[in-house]
Amino acid sequence: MQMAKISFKFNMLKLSIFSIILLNFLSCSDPEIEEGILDSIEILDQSLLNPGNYLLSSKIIFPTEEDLNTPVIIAVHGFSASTFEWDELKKYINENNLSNEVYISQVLLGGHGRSFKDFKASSYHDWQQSIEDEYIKLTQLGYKNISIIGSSTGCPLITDLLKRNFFQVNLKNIFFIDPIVIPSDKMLGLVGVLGPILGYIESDLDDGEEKYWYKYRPHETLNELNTLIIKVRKQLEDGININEKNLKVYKSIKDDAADPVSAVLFYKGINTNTGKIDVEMIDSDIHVYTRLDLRPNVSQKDIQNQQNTFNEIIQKVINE
Amino acid sequence: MKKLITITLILAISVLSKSFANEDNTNNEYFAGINFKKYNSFYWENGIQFKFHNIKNGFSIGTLYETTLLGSAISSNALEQHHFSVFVDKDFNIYRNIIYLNPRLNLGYFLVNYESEIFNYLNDNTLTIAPEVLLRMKLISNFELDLSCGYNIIHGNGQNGLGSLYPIYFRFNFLYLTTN
Repeated sequence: MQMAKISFKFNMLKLSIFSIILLNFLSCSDPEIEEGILDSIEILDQSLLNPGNYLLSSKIIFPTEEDLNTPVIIAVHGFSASTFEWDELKKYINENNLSNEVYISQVLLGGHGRSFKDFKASSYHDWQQSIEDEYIKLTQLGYKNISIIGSSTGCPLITDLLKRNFFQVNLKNIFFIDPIVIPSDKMLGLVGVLGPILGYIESDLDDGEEKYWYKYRPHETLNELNTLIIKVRKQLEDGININEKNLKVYKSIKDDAADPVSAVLFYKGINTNTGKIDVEMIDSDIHVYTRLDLRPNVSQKDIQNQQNTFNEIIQKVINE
Repeated sequence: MKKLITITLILAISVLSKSFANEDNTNNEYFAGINFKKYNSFYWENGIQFKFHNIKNGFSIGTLYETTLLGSAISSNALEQHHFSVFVDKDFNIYRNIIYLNPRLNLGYFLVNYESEIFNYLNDNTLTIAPEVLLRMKLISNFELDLSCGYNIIHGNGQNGLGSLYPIYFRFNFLYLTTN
């Protein structure tokens, strides 16, 4: 009887050791990174190589009074993306000869646009830090007319800053494109449990996108994304009163990344100093419909949606 | 929408009454209680439940109503959601007729109030189907505690379905045996 008990305990010990080894094996190491993709060490976001082409604070180090009175848009991209996400807005400004009427500053989120390893090690606080840094630099330089635009995860990062009353000088306009507080993939909530087993998730990118978006999304950063989303959703549930006058949400009615219901939570959760925020539901099935470059099968309606939104944003920034 | 809710409730009641009409009353137990449901990474939806349990064959049928108005939406901007369900489950005794494992199937109707016409494009109601596994524990003095985990097969994915209906949920029920 005693021997049977000892044997049972020994078997249980073996089973435990085997389970630990199996779990260790299953908790995959990093993926093998191909050459020529953003995850690799050889490709960096262009804003890291030529910051003057992206960040206004680097482009104009000694602004004139005229510069300081020119409206500025700080453009913030989304999770796993890069400054490329807002290149088309800059292009729109240039093509319409508005580059002297409105400046754009494209922020690269912390941990983004570098290697997979850097991305994996970053927290959402790191992502947010780049927005804070550029805003502080611009206000210290003396810019008075600053607006901000965010896409996808850029929006909860900005919302968290609004909740913390970070923007000491009120923003003139805030624009959210396809903001996320409810993910379309509801399994994101299980990342804390399943993440360590899966290790990372490989994303399905279109041709050419692998230079501007991470192909591999480590569970650590997915967990950060989930933490940020839950935090901001709770902030919205508690209510956020902002000193700014203009906040508009543009949301695709179908979206495989940010569930369209996210727009309802922003509508209910934020009050400007004049009342409810504006929300426009866009007849589109594209996540971040303002970025069309490198997308296959772009329709005339997609182009129209993008141009209408850019036009409205620029008009508001220039005239208000 | 009201019609659909009424039809669901009438169906539930008629199914319940027919199922138990021919049974010997001494084999039937009638429970009433409260539910606390938490979606994984999302809202609390709490409510009430009525259940008829047949001791002889181990089947239960019941109905429940849950809402965020009794959960996450209390004094907050959380969405107002309502969920009506009917269910059937079967006892499998796992410990001395005190603890049972019950596979359950829920059929229901879920609706959400977006509070503005801006969101008319979005789906605001859906039928629900949810298999659930339930640990049923008999407590002292006619009380019963259930712990369960379920999966809404029809849920939102950004392209289809209702976005604030999450798939995985956990539920606690406190039930009182109203008759012996």
